[in-house]
Amino acid sequence: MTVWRATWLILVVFLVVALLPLSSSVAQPRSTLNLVSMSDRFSGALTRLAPEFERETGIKVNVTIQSYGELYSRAIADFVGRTGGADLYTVDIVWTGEWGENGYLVDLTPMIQRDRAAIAYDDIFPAVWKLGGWQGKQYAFPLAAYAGVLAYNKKVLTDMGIKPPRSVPEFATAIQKLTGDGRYGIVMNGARGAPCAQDWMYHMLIHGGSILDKDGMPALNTPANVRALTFFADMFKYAPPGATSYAWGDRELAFRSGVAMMQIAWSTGVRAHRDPAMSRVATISDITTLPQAAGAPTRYPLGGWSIGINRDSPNKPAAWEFIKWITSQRVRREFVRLGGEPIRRSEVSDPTLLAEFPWFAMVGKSFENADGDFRPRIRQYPRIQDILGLEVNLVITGQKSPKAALDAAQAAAMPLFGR
Amino acid sequence: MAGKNKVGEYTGAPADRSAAAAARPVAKWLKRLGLLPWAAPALLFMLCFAFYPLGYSLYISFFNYSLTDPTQAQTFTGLANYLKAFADPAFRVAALNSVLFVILAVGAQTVLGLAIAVLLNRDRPGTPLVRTFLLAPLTLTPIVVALVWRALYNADYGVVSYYLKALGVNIGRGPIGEPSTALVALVIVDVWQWTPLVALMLLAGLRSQSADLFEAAQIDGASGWQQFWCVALPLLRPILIVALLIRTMDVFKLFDSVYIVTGGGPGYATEVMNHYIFKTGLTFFDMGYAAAMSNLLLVLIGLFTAVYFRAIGQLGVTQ
Repeated sequence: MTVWRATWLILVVFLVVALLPLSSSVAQPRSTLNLVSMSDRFSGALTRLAPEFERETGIKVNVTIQSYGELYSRAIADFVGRTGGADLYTVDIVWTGEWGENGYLVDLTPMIQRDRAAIAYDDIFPAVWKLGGWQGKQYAFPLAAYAGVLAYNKKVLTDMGIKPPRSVPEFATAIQKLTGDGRYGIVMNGARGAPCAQDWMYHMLIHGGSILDKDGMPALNTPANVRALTFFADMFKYAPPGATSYAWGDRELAFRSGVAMMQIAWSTGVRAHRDPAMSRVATISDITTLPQAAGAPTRYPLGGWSIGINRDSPNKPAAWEFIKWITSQRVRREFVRLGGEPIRRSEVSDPTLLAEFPWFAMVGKSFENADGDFRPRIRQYPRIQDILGLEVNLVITGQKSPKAALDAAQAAAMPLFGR
Repeated sequence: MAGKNKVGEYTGAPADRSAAAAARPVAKWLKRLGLLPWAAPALLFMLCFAFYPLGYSLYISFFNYSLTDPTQAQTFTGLANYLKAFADPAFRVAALNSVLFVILAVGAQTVLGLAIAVLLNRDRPGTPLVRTFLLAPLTLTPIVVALVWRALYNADYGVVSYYLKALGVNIGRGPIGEPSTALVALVIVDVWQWTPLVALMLLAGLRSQSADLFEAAQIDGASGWQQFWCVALPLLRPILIVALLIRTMDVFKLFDSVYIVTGGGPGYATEVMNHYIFKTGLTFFDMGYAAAMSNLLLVLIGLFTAVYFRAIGQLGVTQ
C-alpha cells in the first residue's frame, strides 16, 4: 500500500470516528431516566431518593445538578435542537409560560386527571398548582413550593421591644429602629439584574403593585409601583453598605451572620437559618408572613419548582411514573425531610414534619393566600426582569429617581408586547 | 521529472508505479493532493468550528431569529440588527466601556509588565523564585480569580474594603458598588492576573538582546537609563506590540469577571460588549441580534489588530 493511499485511509477512519457520536443522538428508549435539576436544596433529596425508585421499579434515574443559568441554557438548547438530552427537567415557576406555550414539555393534564385519586390531587395547595400550570394545562408537576416570608432576628427584636411588623409603616419603623451599633435593620439584594429585580418585586407585591395590568400588558410605572420602589430605595439606606452589590448568597450571609436583622426571602432558606453550622442566628431567628400596605390585597409571594417531561423524551411513561412516585404522599415526607419543600396540606400539618420544621405552619398559611403570578409567568418575563434589574439598580445607586426609572422600564417593556 | 520525483518522495510511491500513474490525469491530480489528507483533519476542524460558525453568524445576523419564539420563524431583516445595535444605548455604552477597559487594562499591563521585566532581567539572589511566583496568577482560571476578587471587594467584609476604610478612604457602597469605581475595580482584577504574562514576554525579549550592544553603548558613555531608552526599548518594540495585540484581543473578549463580580452594574458602569452579547444570545436567545453584535465586536478587534500590524510593519521599515 502506498503512503498516499494509507493517508486517505487515515482520513476515512478519522471521518468515521468523528461521525460516530452522531449516530447515538437518535433517540432510543432507555431503561434509564435522565433528570436535570436545579442546584437547590431539593436536588440533594432527588439524588438520595433516586436509588429507592430504582429498587422499587427497576428504572434508574441519573440526576444531573446544574446552576440556574446553566440549567436554563441547557434545557433550551435541548428543546430547540430536539435532542432529547434529558427526560425530565425541573422547571422554575417563571419558565412555565414560555415552556408551556412553546410546547417544550409534555402536557401532563390527561395523566393527572386519570391518576387524580392516586396523586391525591386535592391535597396539593390550589395556588401551588401554578408551579407548572399554564392556561388551564399542567405542563409540569409541583415539586418544591417556596413562600416569600419575612425572616427576622427574634432575639434582637424582642430585646428592643419591636413586634414583627404587620404593616408597611411598622416595617419601616422597625427597620430604622433596628439600625445602629453595627447592626442593619434589613438586607436586600441590590446587584444589577435578577437579584435586585426579584427583591423589589416582593416590595411591589406588599404595596399592592403588579407587573402587568388586567389586560396582561406591562404596567410598571403605576403609582403603587412607584411607591414600592421609593420605599425600597429608602430602606436600602438601612441595609449594609455593600448591599447594592449583593445577590442571594450575600444577602443570606448578612442575615445568618447576625449583621442584618430582617430580610424578605424564600422559605427554603429557613433550614440554613436554623442550622448552627451555617448560622449565628440559628436559635434566635424566626419567620412571619409579609407586612402589607394599607388597602393592598393580602397576597404572599409564591415561587418554587416543578418537574416536567421533555416532549422529545423516549421514556415518557417511565418519566411519568417517576413524577408520580416522587410527588406521592408516601415518598414526599422523606423528600421534604431530605431538603425538599412542601407542596401539600398534609405536609404542613404533619406532626412529625412540624416537629422538625416548625415554620411549615407559617409557610402553609402563606400558601393559602399565595400569588404565583407576582412575577408573571409569561414568555417575556426574563426580559422584563432584566429591564427592572437595571432600573431598580440605577435607583438604589442614586442614578435615577423611582418615577424616572419605572417610566424608562415601561417604555422598554412595551415593545416586547408588540406596542 | 523533478516535480514528479518530489511528489513521489512525499507520497512514497514507487518510481515505476509513479510513472504509470502520472500518465493518468486523475491519478496525477490525486498525487498532487497527496499532502491533503494530512492537513484534512485540521482543515475539517477549522471548517466545522471556525469558518462555519463564522459564516452562520453572519447569515443569522440578517434575520430576526429568536430561539424561544414559539413559531421559530426566521424573518429576513437585512441590516436591521446592525442598525439596532448602533441605536441601542446599552450596546453603545458597552462598546465605550470595552474600549475604555482596553485602554486602561492594556496600558497598565504594559507599563507594569515592562517595569517587572526590567527588574527581573538582572540576576540577583531570589530572582528565579520571583519569576516562578509571577506565574501564579496565570495558572488560575478567570472564574476563580473573579470569585476571589468579588469577596475581596465586598464592602462589608472584604479585605480590600477593610484596608481602604482603615486608611480613611470613604468607599461608599464599596469598590464594586459605586458607579465611579466599579470599572477601575475590574481593571485591577485584569491587571493582577495578566500583567505577569506581559512581563514574561518582555523578559524573554530582553534576555534575547545581545550584550555586545549594551557594552558598546557603555563604552560610548551611555547611562543606564540611556541604554534602556535608546537600545533596549527600540529592540523590544516588536515583542511589545505582540504582547499588546494578544492582550487587546483578550480584553475585548472580557466576560468572566464582569459576569461574576458586577453583572455589568451598578447601572451600566461595567457593562462590556461580550457580556451584553452573552446576555442577549444565551439568556434571551435573541440570536440574530446577538450575532450582529458579535460581528461588530469582531470588526472592532480587527481594527485594533490592523493598527498593531501596521505599527509592526512600520517598525520593520525603520529598523
